[in-house]
Amino acid sequence: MDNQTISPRQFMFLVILFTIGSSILIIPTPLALEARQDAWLSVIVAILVGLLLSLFYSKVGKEAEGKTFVQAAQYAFGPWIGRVLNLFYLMFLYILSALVLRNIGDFMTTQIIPETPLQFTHILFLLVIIAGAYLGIEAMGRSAEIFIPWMVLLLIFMVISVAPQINMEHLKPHFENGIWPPIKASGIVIGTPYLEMITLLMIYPYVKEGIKKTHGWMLGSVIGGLALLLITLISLLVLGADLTGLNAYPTYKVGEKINIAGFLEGLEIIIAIIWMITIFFKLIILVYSTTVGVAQFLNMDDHRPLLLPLGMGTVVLSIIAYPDVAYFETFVGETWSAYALTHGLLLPLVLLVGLLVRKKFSKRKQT
Amino acid sequence: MRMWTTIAILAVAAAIFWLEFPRLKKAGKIKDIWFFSIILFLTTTVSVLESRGVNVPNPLDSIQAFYQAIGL
Repeated sequence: MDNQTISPRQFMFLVILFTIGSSILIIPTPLALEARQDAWLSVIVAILVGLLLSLFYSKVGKEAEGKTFVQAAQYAFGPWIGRVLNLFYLMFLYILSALVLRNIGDFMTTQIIPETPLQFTHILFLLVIIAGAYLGIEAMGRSAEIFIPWMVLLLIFMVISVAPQINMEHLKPHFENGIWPPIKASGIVIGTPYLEMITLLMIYPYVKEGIKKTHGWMLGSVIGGLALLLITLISLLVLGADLTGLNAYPTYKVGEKINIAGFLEGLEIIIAIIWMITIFFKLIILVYSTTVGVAQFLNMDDHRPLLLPLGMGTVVLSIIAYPDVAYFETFVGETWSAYALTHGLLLPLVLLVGLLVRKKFSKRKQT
Repeated sequence: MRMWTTIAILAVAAAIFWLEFPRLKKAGKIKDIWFFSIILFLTTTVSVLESRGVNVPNPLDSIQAFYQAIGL
């Protein structure tokens, strides 16, 4: 929206945080249910697919030539057909941001602050996000730079302190049901952080020029994926596939198991901090992208006035989005993959074709 | 109780309007003022309806129905 830019390095950090955010919370349980003790293989398969996806998205971003997804679609297909595509795209982002907000809200109400009503947790969390999105992409990039070392330190601390509880037997037998179920379960990981990376096409144009942009995206998605792999492995190794599949927040349970020499206990809040930091960044990227997208959709000059009204809508949507956890689980299990696939793969594919055709067309006109 | 929730939502909406409107007016962006007001009005309406216990249609329901219909 404005003339702010971020460096490829900051973009990479944002990609890492975007990949980890909220998936770290919701991935291990369904993975352990479907792939049992081979869930780690699913994450590895998903990382490879994520690498290809980030290559594909940056190709789309390159063809868009400094335009965001919304602008590029309206440029390639003309204002009206482009707006139809954008409507779907923006709805995807808006629903996703409401769901991500609900993830952290659900976690806070069930585990940390059970007395506080869900709405207020959402409102408080979103107010901080809106304040951040108000400052723009530059502030987001810089704060990502500040928080990444903390994230890494906390993650390492968690792994080291839980290391004595690791039981290698939990991973055996390898490939009990053949190699197919873990590969099939990788769809969960592909759908939850990787196809959602389409959001980043909204901030891609604000990254400074250079081939490093693509590298940053790919490296970021791999590093984020490795963090997810680490988390999944830790939950499997400490709790076993059964307990991981039964718990709503298995990594939190792992945190409860931390016990250093009998006096350092109750460190599960460290894991909660990792979650809050990563979800904060995922949500800030989503809110910023949605708002900027809506502003560009309506040909407005500034996205800032829309932040608060749209934020109000996000809170309501996050409350009505699902009445209970069971609804959410069926939605994520049955519909989300298809929904993310059509919006995360089909939509950019259509846009890419449109941009290429447009390019050829305008070239012919010139000669 | 419900009464107060509605009043609180309306107060928040008024505060948002009061916060953003002068800035937009100073910049003289008539179109932006309209879009901002319409979006604010829509989200406030939905919030009030939700707080009054009206069953606001859930977009996730229609998405689910759509993808089940085409069999994915």
